[in-house]
Amino acid sequence: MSAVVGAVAIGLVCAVTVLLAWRGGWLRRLGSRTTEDVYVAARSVRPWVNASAIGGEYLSAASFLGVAGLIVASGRDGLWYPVGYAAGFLMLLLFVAAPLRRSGAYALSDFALVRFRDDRAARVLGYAVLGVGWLYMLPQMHGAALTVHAVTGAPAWIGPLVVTAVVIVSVVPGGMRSITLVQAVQYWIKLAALLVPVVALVLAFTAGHGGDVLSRLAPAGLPASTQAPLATVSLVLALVFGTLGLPHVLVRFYTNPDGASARTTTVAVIGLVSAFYLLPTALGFLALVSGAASERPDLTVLELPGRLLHGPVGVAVGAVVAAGAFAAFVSTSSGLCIALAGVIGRRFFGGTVNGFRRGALLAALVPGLLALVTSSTALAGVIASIFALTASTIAPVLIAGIWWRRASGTGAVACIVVGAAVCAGALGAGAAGWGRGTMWGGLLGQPALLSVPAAIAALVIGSLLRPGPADAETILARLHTP
Amino acid sequence: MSELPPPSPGRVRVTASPRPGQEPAQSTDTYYATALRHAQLRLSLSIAVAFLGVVTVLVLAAASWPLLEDLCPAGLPLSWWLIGVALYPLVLGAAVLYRGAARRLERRYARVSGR
Repeated sequence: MSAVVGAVAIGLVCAVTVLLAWRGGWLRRLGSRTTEDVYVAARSVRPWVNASAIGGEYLSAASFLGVAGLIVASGRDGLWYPVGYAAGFLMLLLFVAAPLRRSGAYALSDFALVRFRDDRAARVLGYAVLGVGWLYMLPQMHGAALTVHAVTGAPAWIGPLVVTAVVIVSVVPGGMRSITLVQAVQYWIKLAALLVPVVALVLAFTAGHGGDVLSRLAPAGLPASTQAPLATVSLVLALVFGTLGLPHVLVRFYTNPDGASARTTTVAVIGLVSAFYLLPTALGFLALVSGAASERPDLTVLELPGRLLHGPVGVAVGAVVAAGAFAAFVSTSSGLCIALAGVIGRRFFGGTVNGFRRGALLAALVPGLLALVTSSTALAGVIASIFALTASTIAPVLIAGIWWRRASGTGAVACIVVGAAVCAGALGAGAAGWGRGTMWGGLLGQPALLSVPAAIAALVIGSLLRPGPADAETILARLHTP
Repeated sequence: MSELPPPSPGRVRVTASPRPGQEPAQSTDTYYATALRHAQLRLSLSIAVAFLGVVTVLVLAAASWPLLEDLCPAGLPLSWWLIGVALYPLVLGAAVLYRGAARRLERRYARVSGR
């Protein structure tokens, strides 16, 4: 019974996605798609729509399933993840939002061309975007596999297959123009899909126990904090600076009409994302209070309604959550697919409309295939490692390019290579068990505090050895003047 | 401006050095743009440092101050309220504050540079 309802809910979300995408991009503007349309939605997206769309693609499997899972598994340490995810947009607003829009770029690699006049830097930045994007899509596919198996009992590989198919069908024809409305709607689907269980569970609790839900749990029942403070600071650093290097978030900023509206959009995103994150936090807490947390933390959000609510109400709320989870996988994957298609299309297929489509196909198929041969671990934890990677590669290059006159293409290349190497090396050493239980071991698992300074040092040395273009002052003036 | 006819044979046209106003005007433009960039950077850095400072203090306090664990308004430790709930309005407030301040800097730039 609940398997059928869950499958129908998932199917419904996928159908709505495809229909909205076609209405937005294909049917209405048949035959009139330009390059500006498919790459940046003709730079005409209003701030509130754009903010909903950014929220829609930012809130991924890690946010929807992973946050509550981490709070269940590690208590107070887990609370830092949603805070970091939300505060990342503050750093984006402070350092990147308006200047990046004014750069007039279509994709991140274009920014390197505009700012550094260095084709090698553009190429390396393009590869970094591809690597980060595919790594980021992989947990979405794993989340889909997990959800399909848990909700319907079907074999897990159906999940990635469905997500890949929906992404291809909705992104390839109309590009950015068609997907903006889809993403905006999906933010509200996700918000509703967690708001419904929170309200239903709180009502059930208060009816069942006739009083204050919160007072049922002694603090001793909460999982103890095990992370060293230094590792927590490193984690927050990774999350707040990782956000401003995420390709699928940055690509949305090119769709704003101007720099001032890019700022308004970001403020609105912070409001929307913060409102959302209170919900998985509440669900994680409710799972702890009721003692109904799943053995597998990432499944907590999906299984909680069925465990605590009985009869058809439990089935219905469970289906709503499953639908919201699928909205999360599909929207984040489509956003990443667009960002990657922009880079692939402009770098390898000449920047045409057809180049975008071929890029999108490639961008969606690679992680879909990879998901079939890899297995998943804690969703929010994996995503945090990817944030550390972007914080030590793409983010410093962007910030230096926007604010530092002497920054050069050579510095950018050095930064990306050193940042990625230190970050991957530390994560590998941590996974191999070096320094387990010590402060250094914790830092190897959350490497931003090591890799970000190393990347910045490489950037500074590279830029001082080989200065950037002589007219950097003029380029910067264009980025910063209204 | 229409071109003057060429001077008659045997005569030389005497003009002032070519368009004297232009060179300094361009560098004033860059000067103001650079000043705007530096002012924006100071603004962004101070808000970022303040926010990261609050976070660091909160991390250390939650790890070493038992009061934040023992005090449980509405059944949840104070540290959970501070990290899981109170930081969001702080982020939003900082964002609104920054947007207003950045816009004021840009208006001032538009005024002094005469754009």
